[in-house]
Formats: sequence, C-alpha cells, structure tokens
Amino acid sequence: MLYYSLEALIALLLVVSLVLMQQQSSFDKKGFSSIYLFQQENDLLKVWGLLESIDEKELVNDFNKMFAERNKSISINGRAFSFEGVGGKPVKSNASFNGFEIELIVYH
Amino acid sequence: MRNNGFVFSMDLMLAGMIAFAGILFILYFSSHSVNESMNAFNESSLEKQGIYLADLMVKTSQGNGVAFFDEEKKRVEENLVLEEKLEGFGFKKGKYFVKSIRLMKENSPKEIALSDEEGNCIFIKRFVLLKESMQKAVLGVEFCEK
Repeated sequence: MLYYSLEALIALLLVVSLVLMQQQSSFDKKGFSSIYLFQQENDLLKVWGLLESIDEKELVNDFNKMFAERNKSISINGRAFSFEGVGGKPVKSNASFNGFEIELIVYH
Repeated sequence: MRNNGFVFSMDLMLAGMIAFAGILFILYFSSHSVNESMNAFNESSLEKQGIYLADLMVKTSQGNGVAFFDEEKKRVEENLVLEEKLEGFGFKKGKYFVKSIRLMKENSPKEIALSDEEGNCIFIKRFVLLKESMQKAVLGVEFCEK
C-alpha cells in the first residue's frame, strides 16, 4: 500500500502548483495568436470575394505572401497545396465564391 | 531528565537547512514565475491593443477606421480601404501609439511615418483591397508602447 506522509503530500502539492503556474504563463503567451491568424484568413477570403475575377495562381500567391514563414495549407476545390510542412495547432477558415471552394489552414 | 547538550542537534540543523533551502527555492521559483507572467501580460496587452486597433481600422469607417462607406448600400465595406485615409491617420492613446503604416502593394511598397517616438513595437499585418485602384495590398501597422 502506498503511504504518503504529510511532508510528501505537501511537496507533491507544491510541485503540482508550480507546474500549473508554468502552464498558465505559457498559455498567456499564446493568447491572441489564433484570433490574429483567424482575422488574417478572413481578410483574404473577404478580399477575394470582393474581386470580380481571380485565378488559382493568385489565390496561392496571396496566401503565401500573407503567411510567409508559417506552416500552412490551402485547398482549392478539393486540391490541397501545403507549404513549409504541416504542424502545430491549426486555425481553419473556409468560403465559397466565384466557383471556388476554399479552405485555409494556418498552424501556430 | 535527559540532557541533549546542544539545543541544535545535527539532525535538527540538517532539517532546518533543508527547510530553509526549500523555502528559498520556492520564493525564487515564485518570483521567476510572477516576472514571467507579468512580461507575458504586458506583451499580450500590447498584442491585444494592436490587434484590436488593426481590426477596427479595416472594419470601420468612423474614427480610426479607414474602410470605405458605401453610401448607396448604407454600409461599411470591410477590408475595402481608402488610401487617402491612411495618409492622415494618427493614433495615440495612453502609452500606446502607431509609429508607422506600411502598405505593401504589388511593385510599389509605401511607408507612412506617423511618429518619431521610440518604444516597444509589434507589427500587425492585414490583407486589404484599395478602393481607388482595386489593388490588393498587405496593410502593416507598427503599433508601439512607450
């Protein structure tokens, strides 16, 4: 049978509280990143929707320009293009316009 | 009665040293965590204010907004930006201010310097369409804290 003395229990509680404090501060650092990426993805979709005509190449170029140096992928009518690999926490947006079905995924 | 001689026996001294070292360690670790949390909070405040302002700029036409207001439709066209409004843009609220605005258009990037003040700055990027030329551009806002 496991036996935790009072000291051991206090020590365990201390360790757990310190670990939780660390997790809290790392959460604070990541706080607004996903909202910001989501806003940027929506910017692209809105601007593309405002244009009378746009081609696939332009969609991919704009996406690359906006999210340079990030892991990302864009899917246009079911065809997926991935850049700089895939990894991290994904932020997804999608829209349909001018005959395009688009899904954007940016990782952070 | 048994006489132990010295009040602080070796055993008690060791226990005391361990407890003292433990308290020091906890105090050091706590202050380190508090400092880290404070830094994260300050950074996130700057980030939060910057993200909020940039969003306000591209989505509204009043105050700090630079979006186009369509009189016919009686609505703001989000992300459709008036370049002339950027020229006269200015933002300063408390310790926060906008140092410069960069408009990264195809082949013709443009920088509008708005303040000479120095501070801790972040760069917020938003994708917009310019109303006059119907040209796509990345709007960069250099948002700072004194």
